[in-house]
Amino acid sequence: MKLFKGEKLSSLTLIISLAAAALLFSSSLAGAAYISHQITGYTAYDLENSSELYSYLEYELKFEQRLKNGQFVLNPKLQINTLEEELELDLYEGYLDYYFTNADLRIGRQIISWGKADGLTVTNLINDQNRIQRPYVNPDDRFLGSDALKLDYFTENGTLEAVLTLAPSDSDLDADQPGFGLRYSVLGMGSDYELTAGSFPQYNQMLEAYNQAAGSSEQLYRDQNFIGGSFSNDLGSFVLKGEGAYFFDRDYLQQTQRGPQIAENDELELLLGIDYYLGDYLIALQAKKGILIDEPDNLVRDKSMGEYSLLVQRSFMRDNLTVENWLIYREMAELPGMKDTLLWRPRLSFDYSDQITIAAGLDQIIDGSEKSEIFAQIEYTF
Amino acid sequence: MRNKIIIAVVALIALMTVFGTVSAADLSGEEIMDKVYNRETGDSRTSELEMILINRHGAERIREIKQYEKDFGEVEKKIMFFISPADVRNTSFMNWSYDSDQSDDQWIFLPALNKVKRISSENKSDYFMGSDFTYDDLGDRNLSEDEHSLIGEDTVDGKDVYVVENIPVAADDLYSRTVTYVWKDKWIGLKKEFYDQEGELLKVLTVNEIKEIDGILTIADNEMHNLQSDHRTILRTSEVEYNTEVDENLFSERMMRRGI
Repeated sequence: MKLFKGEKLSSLTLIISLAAAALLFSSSLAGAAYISHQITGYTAYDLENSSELYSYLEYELKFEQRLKNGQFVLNPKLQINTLEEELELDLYEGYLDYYFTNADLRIGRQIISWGKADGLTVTNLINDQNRIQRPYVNPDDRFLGSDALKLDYFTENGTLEAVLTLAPSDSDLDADQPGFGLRYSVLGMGSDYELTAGSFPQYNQMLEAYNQAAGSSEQLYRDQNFIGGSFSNDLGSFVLKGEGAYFFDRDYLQQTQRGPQIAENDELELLLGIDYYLGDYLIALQAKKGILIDEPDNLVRDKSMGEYSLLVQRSFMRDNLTVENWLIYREMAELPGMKDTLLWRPRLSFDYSDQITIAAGLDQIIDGSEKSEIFAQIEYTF
Repeated sequence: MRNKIIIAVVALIALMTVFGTVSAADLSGEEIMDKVYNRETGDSRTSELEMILINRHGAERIREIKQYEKDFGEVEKKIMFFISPADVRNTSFMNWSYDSDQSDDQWIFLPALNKVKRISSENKSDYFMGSDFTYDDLGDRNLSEDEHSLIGEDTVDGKDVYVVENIPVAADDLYSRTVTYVWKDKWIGLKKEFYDQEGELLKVLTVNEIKEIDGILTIADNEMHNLQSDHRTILRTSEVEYNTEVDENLFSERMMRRGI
């Protein structure tokens, strides 16, 4: 069994740095630390080949220490991948907060979410995503913490947030190419909105295909330069929500007489959704579409061209049993091995007690080229 | 002379009796419930809640919540921070309730999603955190949402009460009717019965302890018993403070994300 995966060693450094910083604050400790532990067992099967796809046992520590003017949070995970026989220590989140009168500063590894949509997203581009092919209990579980500095300044009506992130740990971008962005967010009577702008490196799936076709070694991450926003409105039994962004100089694959080339083009992405509360049911519909501006010939999008989701959710047994049914349709790019996909994604989560939660689910490809997978997970929190 | 005095005393007693009777009879169900809804509860309140959920087999789950409320005049704001158990820790819930016809605004912050999410305020009949209390039961209900009738008088734990029937105006309400037992002159409910849409008794709320804090009567311990599922929720309130300085900025996205 391998002890630690090499690229994760930076997590250890970060843990030590943050712990040292916390010690500096030790004279400002406010109250006792809060510590909880979680052990998770997870296994996923490939339904087509009847083979175990991914399996792990994970220990997660959550440590919170409130300070007089801030807090220190540490959330490392130790995972034993039972199939690959790897032991991996990773820092999911680990940060220091300092609270000023009208501002909060957070420095360290953190998850930062922008936008109002669920599952699908247009502007939630800050954190890198886990590309291990396995079904998640929740779609947002795929996000990985970013090493970042986040400053929130609070005005009378809203929050102005500035974010500076380091390049994702497994990216091949130069270290001096950080991501940065601004968000202005307002919660108000009947409606909320966000205005966002930024440039964050994101994994570029198209370049994988380009590499294969051209035999080159282009960087797999490219900056996403965008200006956009999101909103959500309360309309009685409905909540209407939307996201939109204009992307500048996005990279695309273009088929030319000389073979595949990388071309830059602007794109407008729009998402509209509605949450409808009908008795014990939540019915959520979302539609996302990408529109290329002055689309040149033979341009291939790096992401899906359109995504549509339907969620029907119901809780039973006093919210202890939750059943979700997702139906997701993706219009895929014209890349080798890819085709439009219709995915049925049922999820079941049962809180057997405050300590034990059992979850199971299925990613069933009704139409498309991806694999159908089933998973089961048990969590013990103490 | 003696006879005159006796007649005067009897007349006075009769007059007082009649006056008293008229006084009680003068109050309609609407007026009694108006006094209950508008009872002095301070402009702000902070408290800690312990919610004990007990199923039919006697198994318990305990939720701890820190709550802040403040009346800003045209809008009343409330924010709740979930302290334990670990799987709900740092979840927060915020509600803005308006005096006008404007629907409430509600948001929830789920740490797992790291997102403040607006939720529909129409779901007041949802059960709160798996308890036997709906959002309505916890106080997010207005006087005008029911028609109120005084149907009698009774005693609860030796205290004289008015018995008021409350029939929801909305046909799709969770309950077909509720019956509130209001402590006379104190204008606080001591017991409440909830009937389902079939007219069957669904739940009974009983008050186990009332404390006077800062001159305000405060329910410190009450229990909601769902008779149909034999599930109970005990709600204990402690560390209650009224009219303390509660910063307006507490009711914000900043605090929902940061926690308490």
